[in-house]
Amino acid sequence: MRPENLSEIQIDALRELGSVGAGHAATALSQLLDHMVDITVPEVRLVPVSDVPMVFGGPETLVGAVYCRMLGDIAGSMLFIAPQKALLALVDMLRSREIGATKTLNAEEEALVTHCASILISAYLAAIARMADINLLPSVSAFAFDMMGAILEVASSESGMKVDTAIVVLTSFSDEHAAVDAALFYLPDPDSLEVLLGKLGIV
Amino acid sequence: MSKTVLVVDDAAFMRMMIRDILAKEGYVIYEAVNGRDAIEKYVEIRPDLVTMDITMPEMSGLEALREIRLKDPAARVLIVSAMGQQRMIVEALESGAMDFLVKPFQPTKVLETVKKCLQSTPRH
Repeated sequence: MRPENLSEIQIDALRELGSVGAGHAATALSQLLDHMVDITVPEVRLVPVSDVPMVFGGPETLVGAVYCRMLGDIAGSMLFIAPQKALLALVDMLRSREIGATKTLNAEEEALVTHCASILISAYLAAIARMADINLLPSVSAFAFDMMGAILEVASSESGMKVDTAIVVLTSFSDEHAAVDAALFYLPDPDSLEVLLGKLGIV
Repeated sequence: MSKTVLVVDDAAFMRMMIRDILAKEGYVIYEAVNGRDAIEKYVEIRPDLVTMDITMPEMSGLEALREIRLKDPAARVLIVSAMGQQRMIVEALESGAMDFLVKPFQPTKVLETVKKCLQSTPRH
């Protein structure tokens, strides 16, 4: 199902899923950091997969990404992506350091970011599962620091290159020290979007 | 007489969900699309209850809650949000919300909470 074939209420429902998912992700992050985390009104876009790299400035932009598969009643790929600067700020937030202190990521910090993103993805999936009354589970996550185009290529190949649409939830997580721009990408496998909309009662 | 509920949410899908749940039980539903719209509609309609989202463009639900409670200290406002952080819930309750419902919700929970809010006396 391509974005242009979706009705207004279907697009709105997918936006709201993104919004609820981001809200739960912020709650998860605030529990992880043990202080209040706010989110901006999430901007949820439905874009053709080929346009996804443009979300963060093009295929050559360096980003940190955490990837996993979505398993259960519907399938797809999930990506948490933060541009380089935001990724380093996230590590500062997670390690209670002054913003700007982290310059590169070591293996331990990569594991920390992966763990944090997995929690955010799980919170997002749990919200979708409850809203649509379906079973959903994330697979084990993997971290990569690479160009946006390369990361998307891997995620698309996992879905069999048949994915048309990506649901992009762009938001900014902030506490009193910093704001981190990040995005969650849901690339539904073929037919999964129809199943999801069917479960929401808006086919 | 049927109770009136003003459903405030920027997502048409969410307004539709809440409207369907409540209308089936005989509530009369009005809708607003953000905090600012909610204040205007509240003054105009004076509903028995407001269900209020938090994260909305133009004006957040918490700002609108405070404004509405300033205009009408007896206003009944139920927050319905995905922002279920404990401090957010405390802030909403301290700002005068009667209860807090975390999205996504079960229809029975919505009906139960709405009924409870309508039976309780608003805090002044």
